[in-house]
Amino acid sequence: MKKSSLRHFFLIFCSLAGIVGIFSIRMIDPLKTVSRDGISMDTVVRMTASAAKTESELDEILEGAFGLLEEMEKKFSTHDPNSEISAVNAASGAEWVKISYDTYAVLASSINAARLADGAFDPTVGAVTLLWQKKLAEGKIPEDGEISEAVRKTDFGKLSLSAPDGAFLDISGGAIDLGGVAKGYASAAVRDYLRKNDVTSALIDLGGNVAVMGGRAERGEAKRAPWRVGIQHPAKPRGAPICVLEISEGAVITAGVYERFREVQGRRYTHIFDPRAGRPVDGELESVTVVSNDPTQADALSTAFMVMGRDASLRLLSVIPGTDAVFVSRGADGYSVTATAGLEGTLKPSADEVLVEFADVR
Amino acid sequence: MKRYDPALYAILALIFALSCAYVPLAGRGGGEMTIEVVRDGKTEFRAPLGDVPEMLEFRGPEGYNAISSVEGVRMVSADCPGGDCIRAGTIKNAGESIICLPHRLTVKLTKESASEMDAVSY
Repeated sequence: MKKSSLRHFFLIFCSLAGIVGIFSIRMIDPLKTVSRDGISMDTVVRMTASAAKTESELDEILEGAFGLLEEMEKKFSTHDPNSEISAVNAASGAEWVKISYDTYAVLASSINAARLADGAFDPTVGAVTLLWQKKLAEGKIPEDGEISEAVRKTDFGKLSLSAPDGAFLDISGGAIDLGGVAKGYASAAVRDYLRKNDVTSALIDLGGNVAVMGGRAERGEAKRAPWRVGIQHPAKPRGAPICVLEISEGAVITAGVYERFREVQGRRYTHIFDPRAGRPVDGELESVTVVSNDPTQADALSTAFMVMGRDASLRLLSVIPGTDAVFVSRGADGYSVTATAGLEGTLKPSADEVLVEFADVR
Repeated sequence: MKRYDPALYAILALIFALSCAYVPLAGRGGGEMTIEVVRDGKTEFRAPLGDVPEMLEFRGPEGYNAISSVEGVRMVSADCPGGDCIRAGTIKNAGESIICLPHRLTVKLTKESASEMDAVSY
């Protein structure tokens, strides 16, 4: 009897020691996580970063990331007459302008995306957007002549770059507008900066343009969980998703018409323009979300796909490796979601009435 | 010698059950909805939704906002030029937010829970 209770005691002791051991591994987890909210590039920014560093070190790193955004806003803004883009626009049709690395890189990526999308995305669409913004603000619609004049001034083929620091827009009165690509580029730049500073896990949310890396770091978990990124429901308040995507690495970038539009004479005019027609997009697509490892390209393609429509976009996606997309359309009986087959298993509907259909494009 | 001591197995079973319960419980807070008002990245107000007055007023360098928390949260008044925050309507669920960009103000509902989303792309 004595021998057996000793053995019982030993067994209980071992189990307790084992449990205490498991708990203490969770306690001494060296990974720290810091989040920071702010407003930059005309939008709400949130960043979360995890690393084997102190919280104050992480704070400093995120402070630096916000500094990067401010720098890029100063270079890319079309509202700021002192930005590099404004300088290229002011010299359009006249002369070359010296630009920084960031501006060179974002313009180079924009030209590539414009070629890929055959002009459905165009960084030189500024003449069109400016015309519509001005007219809609006055409660008017531009006349056909004005529209064709603006379309004539839109041509990415006339935007020339000279490595490493020159740009020339050879259209008199033409204007670059990086609205469809600046935030994607900025999130890529912030992601690279965080990596360089040994951040192992991060989420960067630039006004709904989301980039993630390293999976979601959770206390004491050896294996990281994927990040859960929602795709906005067109008819619900900000933050209410139609689908949720699980993703550890990459960018989730949405272009949508449900949020920013103006009404003139009972008709809705969105802020996304078809550069070739010189008019706001007007189809059944409510939004397009592009999922890719290249946030800059994802941003440009999300805009291009809104212009091209779902079927043409799916055909183009068949030749772009590593890129997936989610199309949210408005139909007679509610919203429907079509996604590329690459997202099967990681994209789930979050509203009961929504059906997600997967399309095999490869 | 008694080979199967029921007390011993009861204790072992209890320890096992407790350690299983610990995993899902860890990291999960209460289920109470919290309203948070953030201006320019700094939290200006944060309280459980059940404890806030029906009307909340905020004055900042850019202007004035009034938030109603009767049956959901909505912006009822703001002196910003666009009024997008008022048109944003009522939010009721965790993760939803109203943004007044000109006043650099965000109103959001949050809830501590394991199945939350980390972000929403829009």
